[in-house]
Amino acid sequence: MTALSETATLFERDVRAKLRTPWPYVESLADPLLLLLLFAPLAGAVAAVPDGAPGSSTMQWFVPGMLVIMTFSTAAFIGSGIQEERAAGSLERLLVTPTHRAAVLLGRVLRVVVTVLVQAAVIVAVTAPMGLRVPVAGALIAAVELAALAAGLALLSLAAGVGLRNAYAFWGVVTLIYTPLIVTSGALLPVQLAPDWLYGLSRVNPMAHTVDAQRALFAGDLADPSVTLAVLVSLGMAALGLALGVRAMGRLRA
Amino acid sequence: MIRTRSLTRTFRTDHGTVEAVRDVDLDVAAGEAVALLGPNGAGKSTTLRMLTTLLPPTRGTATVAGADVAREPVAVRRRIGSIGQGNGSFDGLRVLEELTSQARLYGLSRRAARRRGEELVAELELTGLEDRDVATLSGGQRRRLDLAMGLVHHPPVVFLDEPSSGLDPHSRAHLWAHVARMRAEQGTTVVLTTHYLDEADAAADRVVVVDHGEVIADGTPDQLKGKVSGDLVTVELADVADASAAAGVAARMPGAQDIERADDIVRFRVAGGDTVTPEVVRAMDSAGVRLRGTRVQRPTLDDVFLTLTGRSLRDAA
Repeated sequence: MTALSETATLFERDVRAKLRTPWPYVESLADPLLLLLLFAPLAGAVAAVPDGAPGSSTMQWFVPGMLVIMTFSTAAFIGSGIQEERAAGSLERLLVTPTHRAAVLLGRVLRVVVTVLVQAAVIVAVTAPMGLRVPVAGALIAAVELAALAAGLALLSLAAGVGLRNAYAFWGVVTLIYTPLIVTSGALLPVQLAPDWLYGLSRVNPMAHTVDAQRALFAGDLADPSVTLAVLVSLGMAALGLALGVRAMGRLRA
Repeated sequence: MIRTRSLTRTFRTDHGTVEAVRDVDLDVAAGEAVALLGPNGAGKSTTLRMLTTLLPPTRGTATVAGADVAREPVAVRRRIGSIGQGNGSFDGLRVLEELTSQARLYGLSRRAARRRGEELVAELELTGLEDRDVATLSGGQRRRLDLAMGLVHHPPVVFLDEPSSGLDPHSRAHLWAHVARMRAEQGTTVVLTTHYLDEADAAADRVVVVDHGEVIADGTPDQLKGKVSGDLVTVELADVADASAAAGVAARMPGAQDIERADDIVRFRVAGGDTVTPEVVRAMDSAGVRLRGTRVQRPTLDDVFLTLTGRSLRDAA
């Protein structure tokens, strides 16, 4: 059996399990929409948004950032799921089958990617009537970039879930990185206005590059250097997460 | 079917290096059922994790069903079924779904996987539960599902890590009946771990006692129990004042040894405890000792372990 068909089988298994408990997706969809409704007008009012023109431009600036935050909240915590399966014993059951280790991770990643794309489509559909311009080519590339970011975050999260000993360690790490990642991503406020050291920090945040790229793509600026940089950074994260995750699965203790 | 030589696994911990399994040489013939017995932390599960390719050995070799666990792990995985300590099924999924996806991972087509799943549902008496969320199953049903998942690909070797822990006696008997049937019908080789000697007795041809990562005894259940000299006879006295008289009577019984006194209880070991007890009662009676009751216990795992290590299995854990 190929790693591809194993991935498909495990994707199907994961989708079946998660479709029956859809609350996490409702939450991660509700969160960016609420931010858009409540935070965007406030930020627009204090003219924090560059080119602070009213109406359409606020959406144009905010929605790309919301897409990245939504991708983060859907993808970055799935390591806790594999940790639960590990604690329960069902991960072990998969690992004693001939299944490729990578497929065990990629089946879950595929589910996250599909979820993110559906959520992104919903957010764009809701905000387009509110003034978001959606250039077709830009939006399609933006979708690919969100998928790559989702895969990168999900794989790193899975690697942490498999590698870290317990839920306390996992959530400890997540809590520690959550605020710096969100703030320096520039999704909520323009990080370009930040002091130099903070702006410098944002350059090592993979999400910041995707935020820049999403804004460029929705503005129809396909040639912006952030477009290439963001996808490379995301794929790098994915490769690192996959390597670490597979390695961690080889040394699981009881 | 299984052959290990100097199989060793060490772990680095905060307190230095721990040898969880030390130089284990184990041979299991095709069709044989072997139980690994020992306290928690003895190295039973670590041994099983190495044999099932979940953990690479630090040193030594292990061959399972003709393949080396370190060099050909995928070949080993194709040929073994492994039922771990936890639940192989995951909450939110349904019985037939879990069986079908498990079968697909062994390369069965969608339709063949479903057919195999239905076959196993019938074999392991899970009929009517196909569409139930596994979280709603009873402990016994869930364990039978684990067994079913381990058997989807007709493996010649099956590993069971404490399969009966947490089950009520009825479910436990039920589970072992399925294991026995599988062995009878398919000639499956079985390696299991357990805390219960009665289970090892019933389910295994051979028992390997493990302590501190080492094999300290290996034999049939009867051979092992033979290492303990006799049954434990417990005499409960109506009056504490009779204790020394009662101990004296016990000491005069032919073959009695290890005589112990604790308040109103006198214990000793003697061969054939059941037939000796009436004599004990008569002797106590003629010595004027009034009894509240008597009890005879066959040697237990605890006794075998105590004899072999000088420690109680409960203290050792």
